[in-house]
Amino acid sequence: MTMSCDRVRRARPLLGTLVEITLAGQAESKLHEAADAAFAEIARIHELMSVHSKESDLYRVNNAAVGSAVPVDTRTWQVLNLAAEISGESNGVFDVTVGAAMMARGALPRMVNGLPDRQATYRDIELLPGDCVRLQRELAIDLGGIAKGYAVDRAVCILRKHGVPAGCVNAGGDLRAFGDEVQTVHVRDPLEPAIARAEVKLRNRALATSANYAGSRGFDSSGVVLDPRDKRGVVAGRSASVRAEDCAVADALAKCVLLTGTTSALLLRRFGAQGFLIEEGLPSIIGAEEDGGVLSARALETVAGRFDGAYTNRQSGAMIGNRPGACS
Amino acid sequence: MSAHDDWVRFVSVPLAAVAVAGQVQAAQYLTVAQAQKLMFGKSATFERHDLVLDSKAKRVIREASGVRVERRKQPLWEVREGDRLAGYFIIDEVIGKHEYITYAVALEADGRVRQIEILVYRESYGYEIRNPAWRAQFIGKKHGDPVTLDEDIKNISGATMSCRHISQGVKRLLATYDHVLRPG
Repeated sequence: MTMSCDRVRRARPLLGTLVEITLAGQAESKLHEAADAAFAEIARIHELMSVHSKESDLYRVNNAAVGSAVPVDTRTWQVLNLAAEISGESNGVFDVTVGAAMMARGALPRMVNGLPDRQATYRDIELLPGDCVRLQRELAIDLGGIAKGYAVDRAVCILRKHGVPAGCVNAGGDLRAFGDEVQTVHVRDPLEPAIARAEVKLRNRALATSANYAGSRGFDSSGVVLDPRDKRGVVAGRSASVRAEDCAVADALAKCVLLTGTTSALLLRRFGAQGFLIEEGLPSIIGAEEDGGVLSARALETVAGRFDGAYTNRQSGAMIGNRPGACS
Repeated sequence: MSAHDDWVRFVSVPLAAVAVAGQVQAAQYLTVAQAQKLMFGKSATFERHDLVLDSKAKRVIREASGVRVERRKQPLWEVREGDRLAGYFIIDEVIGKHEYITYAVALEADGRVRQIEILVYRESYGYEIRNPAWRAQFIGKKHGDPVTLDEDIKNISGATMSCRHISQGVKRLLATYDHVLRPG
């Protein structure tokens, strides 16, 4: 399909960044209507999962008494559920309880009343049926590494429900293209933002990029990434990009690739994702070492195909839930 | 690496493939007229009443919001639905270290923020952002009306665009509402 019909491009400040929606293939008024609905959904997710707001689900969970069940919005529960899945698969390389260390370091505002337990990990977050969450220890969840991608997925879902045939939602570099059109995305050099180091083609796929931008030239200091395992900061100048079907998955896995580099090849494959690093201006693709050679594009597609419709728990083989971005 | 060429190609190209030197990302999202219609609907009418802020007003707004007031004149429209005051439509701009953003804020009649839309986003790694002559080219003669841009606009991943300056801008505008527009 070509984008020959009306084309609409909108942007609003949300999720701490600029969220851009590009749509095509319908009458302009229809596209604007769909964009409004998608922005409203992103704004709602922002409210639910903001670590800065005392009105958020996240604040209520982080400040609930240990052992008490806290009811949350389905979307918050879904994000926590996906986060738990990725934490398990990555052996804690991805861990939303890194929020406590981020707050201690001043990278996030201190939004917990209690004193977070230094031993707490993602395993101390219990997800109960009926969209409830129970903490086993005092901790501080930060969904900064996944909620942005999830919001993009939800926005795409809303846009599709409105009958929009093609478009792209970009939340400050975490983006997802939908429809038949191939979208080209340029990935910046983490130290020289005016230079693109990679050109990615996306068709019905998401791409997310993570880097520790703190202290780098340009932009603000919000882009701090800490390693949940040792609570140390990631070196600046390196960025990780992951392509996946869902933006939430790409977002979370990009953090893992940033922290573990080439050893994350198997993890990416489990989620049908692909990735690369840019360091010192040089790119390297993830996956080559693990297989003793470069994976063929066909093999990657096959892996991606197996994950269609639901995340699969590789240990048990059980389907553990619908994709969080899936339309309900 | 060649087997991956179908989805990623490693390059080393400047993102500034446009006329203005050092400029990286440039996007026009909406014109003033489009933003007005989207934010208040087709039946609303707009009457322009720009605010002029003297040094005392600037000081009061700065003290209330913690944000410095750069401009003396603030483009503002009163919005009406028939005879009823429906709200205010304000055009503002904020300048970061590398980004220059023109945006519209829709306020309800009681001063609550109804909506924010970005009109123009520009990013530069040259000297241009703080150069008024450079910025002036994006704002038409009718103040606040951005020119139409026709360059190839890219999707970019990496290095999050900041919207901290927009948050500060909105804070400043709300303090401006309190000081100048709030009834009684």
